[in-house]
Amino acid sequence: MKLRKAILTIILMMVLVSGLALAETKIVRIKGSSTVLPIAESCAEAFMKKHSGIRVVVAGGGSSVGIKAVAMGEADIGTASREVKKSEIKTHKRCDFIDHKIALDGVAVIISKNIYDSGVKGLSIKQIRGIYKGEINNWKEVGGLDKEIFVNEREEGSGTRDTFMEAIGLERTLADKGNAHNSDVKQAVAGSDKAIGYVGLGYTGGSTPAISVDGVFPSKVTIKKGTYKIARSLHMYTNGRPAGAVEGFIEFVLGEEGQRIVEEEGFIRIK
Amino acid sequence: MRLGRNTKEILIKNMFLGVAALSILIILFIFIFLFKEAFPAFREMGLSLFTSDWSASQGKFGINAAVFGSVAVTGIAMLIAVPLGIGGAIFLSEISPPRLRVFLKPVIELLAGIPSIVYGFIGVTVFVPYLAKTFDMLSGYSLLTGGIILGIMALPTIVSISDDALKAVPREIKEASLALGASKWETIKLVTFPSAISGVTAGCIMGIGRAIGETMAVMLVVGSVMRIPSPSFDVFETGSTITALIAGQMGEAWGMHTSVLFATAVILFLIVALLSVASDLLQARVEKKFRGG
Repeated sequence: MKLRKAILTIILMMVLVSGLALAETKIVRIKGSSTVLPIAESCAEAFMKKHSGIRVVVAGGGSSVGIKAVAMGEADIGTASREVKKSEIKTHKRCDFIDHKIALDGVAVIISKNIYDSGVKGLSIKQIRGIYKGEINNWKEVGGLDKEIFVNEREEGSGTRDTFMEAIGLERTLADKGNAHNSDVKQAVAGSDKAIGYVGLGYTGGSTPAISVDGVFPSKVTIKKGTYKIARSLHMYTNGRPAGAVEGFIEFVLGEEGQRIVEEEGFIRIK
Repeated sequence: MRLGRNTKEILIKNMFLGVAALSILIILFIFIFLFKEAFPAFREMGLSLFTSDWSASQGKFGINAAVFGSVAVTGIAMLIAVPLGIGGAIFLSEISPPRLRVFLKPVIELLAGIPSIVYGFIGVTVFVPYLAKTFDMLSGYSLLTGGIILGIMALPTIVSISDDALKAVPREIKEASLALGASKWETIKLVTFPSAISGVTAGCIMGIGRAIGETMAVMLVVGSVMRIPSPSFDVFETGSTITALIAGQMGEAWGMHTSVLFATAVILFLIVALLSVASDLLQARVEKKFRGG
């Protein structure tokens, strides 16, 4: 009997405590793109330090997952490394997608170090298209060593892939390897002596040098100016105009402190 | 209140029944869930699922390349693991001195306990560059690399189950053979091994099941491109498997794309279930044969 009483007391206390906690803290749920994830996490941490009554929960899953989550009401903010697609607006008719652009990101083309050193410092969009289409198969065709080209891409569904494919004007490729993450592309290119790939700006340098595209080198300046062509903006989507804690968080991200975090995470501020 | 002995007995019995039923229920729910999610793909795509044209962004979902890749890497894995595994099992059960066996068997079984991501990591850092250099391949990522890694991963399963099957062959049969003047090798070849053949086969099928369902290790080295190499026996080319396809694309998939990935999961589930049942039936046959059941 004693035991039963003890258990009952514990359960009652738990219910009470969780009830109190729910009543006091507001929760902002964020879900989506793995590219936006580091920004969202750092911003959430900083935001929660300032507002003790609000809890920000951040989850990944991908751009599509984020857009679906905000449309279905599973998240207050859906993050995406691309714009919401027409087909998604059509599927989620009830959702009033409001777009908040929070940062810019460039997709850099990287190649193996020794190919870079052999003289390939840049390619034109047309040459890149040829390589990904399988029409250009050897580095000597674009001024490099006599080596076959090992073509790396991101797997379908990736926002980085969408940005890249749109910029070079391709719908499908004849790549040699699909990669699930930026880091996988970097590893594959670094480990090869004849590879090409594309990654977010933060993943360039060292054993995977970035090259210029159509004569423009990818950098914060050229992406912001719009002269570097393979670029995208990062988004936070809400269902309708945000209010309360959600509005507060988005304002924080777009404010000075949030934009500083954007830069710290290797992206380009929007303001 | 004190429970009677009988009541207690019944209670405990039912509790265990409940636990057993729960595990069946879980499998059932997984299956129902898989089917529910995959249904739109089967309904919309129908037989066009079984074509070789995959381009998710254009709404083309032919999964042949993944099925081909799964079969190819598993085939290569078996070419490596079956001879080595059976050889290892024969050594363990028939030839090895008992003191060595006591040491070897746990070590081999420990291989099965190494997390698959570790195999994958070794694959990427050791096998990929090595194969690229040795065979002058474009990158070293290939169906062959995946097959080799899977072969090593399937070894402990095959060794362990085959060893059990060989050990289950009654001593009297072997002794009779030796008494008739057969050498040790002749006894293994003509008496012990044929008697254990169904158990050994069961072990190999379990190995196939393990190989075809393996994800992490294979995804890291196989290349993940949805294309059947041409010519199709060119295993030095990159490819994809059912598991690598699902793991690589599920994160960002959406709508029909997700459903198609579930459909491939259903196909994989059916293959593995079939293999598992076949292996169980064969193992049951071994027991019946020697225990006079």
